[in-house]
Amino acid sequence: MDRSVASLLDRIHEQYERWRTGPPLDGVELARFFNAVGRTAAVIGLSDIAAEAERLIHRLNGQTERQWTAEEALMEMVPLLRCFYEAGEAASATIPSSHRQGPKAAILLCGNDPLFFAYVRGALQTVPWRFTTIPSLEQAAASMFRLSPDCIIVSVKEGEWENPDLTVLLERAGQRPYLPVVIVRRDEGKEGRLKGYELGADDVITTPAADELFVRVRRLIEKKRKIDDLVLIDELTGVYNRKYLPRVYARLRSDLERYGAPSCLALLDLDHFKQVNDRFGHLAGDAVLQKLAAFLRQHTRGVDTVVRFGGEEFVVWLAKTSKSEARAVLERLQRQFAAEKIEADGALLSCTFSAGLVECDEPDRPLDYWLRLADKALYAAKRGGGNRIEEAAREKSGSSDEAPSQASTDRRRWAIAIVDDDELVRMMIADLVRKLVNEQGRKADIYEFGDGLSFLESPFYQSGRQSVVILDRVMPKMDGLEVLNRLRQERKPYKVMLLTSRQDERDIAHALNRGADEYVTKPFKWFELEARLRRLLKELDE
Amino acid sequence: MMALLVVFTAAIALFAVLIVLFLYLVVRKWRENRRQARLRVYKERHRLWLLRYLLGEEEQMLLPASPLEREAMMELLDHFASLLNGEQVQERIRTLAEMHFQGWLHRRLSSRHWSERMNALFLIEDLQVKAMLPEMERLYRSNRVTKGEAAKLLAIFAQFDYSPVIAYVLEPKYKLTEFSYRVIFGHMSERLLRQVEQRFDELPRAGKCAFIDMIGIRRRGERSFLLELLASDELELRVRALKAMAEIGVSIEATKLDRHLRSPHWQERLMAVRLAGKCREEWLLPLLYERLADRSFAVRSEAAASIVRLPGGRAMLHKAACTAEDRYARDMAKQWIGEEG
Repeated sequence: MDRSVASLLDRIHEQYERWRTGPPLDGVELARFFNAVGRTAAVIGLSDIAAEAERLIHRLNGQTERQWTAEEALMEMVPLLRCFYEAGEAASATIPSSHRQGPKAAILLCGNDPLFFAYVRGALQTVPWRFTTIPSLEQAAASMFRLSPDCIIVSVKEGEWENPDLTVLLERAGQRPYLPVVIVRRDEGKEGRLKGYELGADDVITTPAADELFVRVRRLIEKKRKIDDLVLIDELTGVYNRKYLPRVYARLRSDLERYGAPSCLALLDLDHFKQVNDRFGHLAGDAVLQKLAAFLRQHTRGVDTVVRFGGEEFVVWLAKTSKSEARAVLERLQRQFAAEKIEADGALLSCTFSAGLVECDEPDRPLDYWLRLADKALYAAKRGGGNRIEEAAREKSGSSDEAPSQASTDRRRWAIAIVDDDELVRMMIADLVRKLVNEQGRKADIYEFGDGLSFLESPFYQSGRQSVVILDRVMPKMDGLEVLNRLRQERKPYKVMLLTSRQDERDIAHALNRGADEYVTKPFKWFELEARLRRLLKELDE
Repeated sequence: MMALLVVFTAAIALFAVLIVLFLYLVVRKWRENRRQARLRVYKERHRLWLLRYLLGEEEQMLLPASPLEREAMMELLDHFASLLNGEQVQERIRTLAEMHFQGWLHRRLSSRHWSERMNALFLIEDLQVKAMLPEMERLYRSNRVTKGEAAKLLAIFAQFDYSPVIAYVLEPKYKLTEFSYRVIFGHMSERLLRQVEQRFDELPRAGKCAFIDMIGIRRRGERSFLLELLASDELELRVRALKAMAEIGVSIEATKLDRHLRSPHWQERLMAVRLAGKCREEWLLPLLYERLADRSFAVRSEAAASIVRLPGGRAMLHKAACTAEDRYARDMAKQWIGEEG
């Protein structure tokens, strides 16, 4: 680039920076500036730039009232900038429409060169590319993975070759499987070009016209796509990506066919990940993802596979593992990970995850089938409030591996006993419980007793399983308070809700002193009953 | 021989009658059992739907197709009405009842059997079928209405905020008991109660007593009305007024209270002492101190309880325990200090 042209560009850049930090400018000032640029251009013999400046001033005359921000002024200047960057070339530097086709792509523009970037954006408007501009190289290096661009274009000026941020940026870009970097520079010397390649750039171009840049970048993007298809590692976390899953399944399916050994697929999802991103920024979010991936890899066996499924979802596929073993493993992982501290952006975070679990025991099913089941279970776990593990509900429930005794000791199942002599009350409350259980995506065993004595003599009471007991205050044979006394004496792990038609304050206090967790009066206020019952069920989980 | 034959025939006839009667009863019982079983089945089948409908989770109405179904539905509704609270639920129950049971209730109210009429009244009350008011009015005015029904009807009128109830209460068809009055007044709205108050003097004695009690129970701010009552010649009314005032905590001048504290009737003194305890004013202490030596145990005990509640009362009791001239007063004071300690 001609030195005089370059210095004129620098002047425009300086002016732009001034505008950027100052208040909006009016049309008169902008016209005055274009006038100055035009005159200078005419003096150094750049007649096309002078003519373009003239045209811009003419256009501005129509809108003298308007206020311009620096950004708007810059976009207004795009035709002028084209003359600068396409100087000496044919006026047809715009890309022929036949060449505008290309893959959709995200391009990261970095470097302090707003004029060139404005030119590129303006000239490549019709191309299906999405541009993101980050002036600071350091910041660009930091947010590279989050933005996951298909190509980075770095503008480097003279004297910037030694900038350590540039080195870092290119290094980080090199860590990924393949992320093409194009360096655009002003100087034409061989030294700069060599330096660029040495740092790891895929292409070093001296301020190109947009069409050349487009063709070169498009070529690199296409190459990246081909390479990506071959790569099975997730860039951010370093674990496998979802493209690897079919291979894992093929291996585990052959295990199943040959040895009859089922595997377990668990779909994990970080709880409240969006909040982490919103509160601590995306860098913190990335740190959490990396931590979870590293944690999972470290705490699973060599035969197990950890895959980043997308976003904050991971697949942990446990080979030759039954459902109950897998649950134990996941519960351990869940516990340990919740205790981990993650340092991100100066803050110490701890996160939890939920998991949907499915036992893959039918070799004829496709991979999608298992993923769908696990996803459903994960959804149920999320709806249940997160930080929990749900097993996928299979059509053939009650099969040999799920004996009823096992189901009754399952901690995820709620147990509720309703002790009331009024059949209608039992029906109403059982219906309410079923509604709450469905709402939470849970399962529950509901037991009904017509009087206190039959409750105390039931196998359910003997089993001492943790549960919610809904107890009528006044019953034949044995009074509700008496039953309450008995089960508190025997230290049964029950949450007790007492129902009564007596509204006496002292009576309520008395019952609460005896160890009732809740007290509800008849006739019921339905929403109150529902809220209190929901609270008790929630406490059961704690 | 002839006589023997006659006796024998009579015995056989009697036996036959007994057998027929027995068979009739068996069949009747069997039919009743079958009816109950069908009722139960229907109720079990439809109770969940009805619950959902009442809670507003279900909009589709299920209509009773036969008298049996209607009866089952009515029983269910009645049961639900006693179990569920809330405006929406009550409203739905009332609408359902008014839509489907009016004809049935009408027939029941005009039945010859007392029990059927009474049951219908209870249902009307539980389900709040206000649309039945004209029918009930007719029943109240009719000649066959009994004492129990009349009391029930008046209570329902009061609940439904039906203005003519005032006239009925002032001049009831049958002499109402104090309890009946209490139930009726307990159901009345403030509006109706004010109307009764204006015509208080016309009330029978039982009505007056119940009305004063109701002021205390419902904690209505009726200070001037109660103060007027204190001037009454009737001991019972004065006692009840004092009791109501004690319950609400109406303050009263010393001179006025003093008169009641020195009443010849222990009931009046007792209530006056209780009221003094609620007033919590120090100038009452000497008056109460006197009552520590009352002839009646109840008054002495209540006086001590009131003294404890007043500022400086505890100190006075300590003093009384040692220095009171009256032995009973000393004992009572000691007992209260002991209980406190």
